[in-house]
Amino acid sequence: MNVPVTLNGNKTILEAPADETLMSVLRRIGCSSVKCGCGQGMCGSCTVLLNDNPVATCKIPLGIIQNADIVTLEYFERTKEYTMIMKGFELAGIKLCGLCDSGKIFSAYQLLKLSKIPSREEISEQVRSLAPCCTDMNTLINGIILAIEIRDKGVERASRKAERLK
Amino acid sequence: MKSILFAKNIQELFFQLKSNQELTVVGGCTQLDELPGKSISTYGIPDLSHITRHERFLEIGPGATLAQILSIGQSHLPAILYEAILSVANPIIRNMATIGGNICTEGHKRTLFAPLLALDTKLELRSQTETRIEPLQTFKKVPDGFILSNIRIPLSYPEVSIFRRIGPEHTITQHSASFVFLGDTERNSLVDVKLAFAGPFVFRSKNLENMIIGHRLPLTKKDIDEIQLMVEAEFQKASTDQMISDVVRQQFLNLTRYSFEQLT
Repeated sequence: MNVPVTLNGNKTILEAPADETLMSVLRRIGCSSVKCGCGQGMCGSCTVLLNDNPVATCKIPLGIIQNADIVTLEYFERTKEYTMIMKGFELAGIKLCGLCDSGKIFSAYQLLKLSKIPSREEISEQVRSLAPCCTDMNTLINGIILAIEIRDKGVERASRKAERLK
Repeated sequence: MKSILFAKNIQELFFQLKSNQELTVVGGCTQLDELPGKSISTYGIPDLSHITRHERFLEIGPGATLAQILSIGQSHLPAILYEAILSVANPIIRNMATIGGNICTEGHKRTLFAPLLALDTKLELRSQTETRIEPLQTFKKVPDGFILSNIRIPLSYPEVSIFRRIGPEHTITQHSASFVFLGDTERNSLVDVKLAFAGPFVFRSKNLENMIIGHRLPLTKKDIDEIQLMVEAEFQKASTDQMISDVVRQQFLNLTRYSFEQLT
């Protein structure tokens, strides 16, 4: 089956059986940020942005996403939101291991997109099922809070907040 | 070889259904282990992804994702529905999973079925020439040639509102089920009760609810014992030993008792 999509800003045709998961198709064409984790949509390792929303590609058959806009972490790294998230993570002392990057970064992005400031509980709800491989939950929540602080008030204020959170 | 067809709008969907007899309509496919041989998805069809909030009810298209419904906001959704959606998988799955998929899955009922049942949800089923409205309570499956085109959820905010998910947190197994209790009181008496269960089978009895309505408040231990016996008898009638494990049955009865104890 040929499925037209926009992948990382380029219009392209993905060619694969209709029921093949988006994860395996993306990995085959070289999107190495998409990892194979639990295969159940829970750990977040295979996350991409589909029409600007983070989704678990291991649960999505290729055939249903015709004309969708897909952004993988490789392309997202060029955005200012990525820079904010990584700076927030750095201030919180998070060093991502590589396996879980896309789940954690795109989950943070979904919260960063909100016009309101999410509560600690809302952030926890967003990230609680992600693979806890390299970061404990509290530190990850702190990292996201600091990324939001950077978005709203800049790096300097976020650095001071990071001191208070420690 | 599996094939998935694509429709840009509802007319194209009907055309595909008419031209392909064995076509199965699917949603976001997040809970399917295996796709049907030939399918078509409602995901991303704008006509089927609407969410409209009226004064007394919500209208939701079957292709609306659970995340889109949550984004209406906690205060604009019935509490049990909000809680139930939050208990489904995780946010990255809810960005893809659709309410229509959750309702229409055959066999074991999914998490949203009991809350929608308790809220007296009505389904609009459409073919190219006909529109039918069917209460969720009598809904078995979408008839051939029809699609689920709209889900109408009455907005109700009862005094006591309890939702519990039974079974494992993130997956659906044979031990999964959902339980809902809604209760309203006025001048020291119980004026409305809704009790729903969905999992291996669906349970809601309006006869039972009518027998319970009218009890004076606060409920005494004797009242609760009597109600418990009535519920147990009705539940037993609706279930069989093959359908439900003793553990799930006991959990349902415990939750029922707990719910009525909130009215003591």
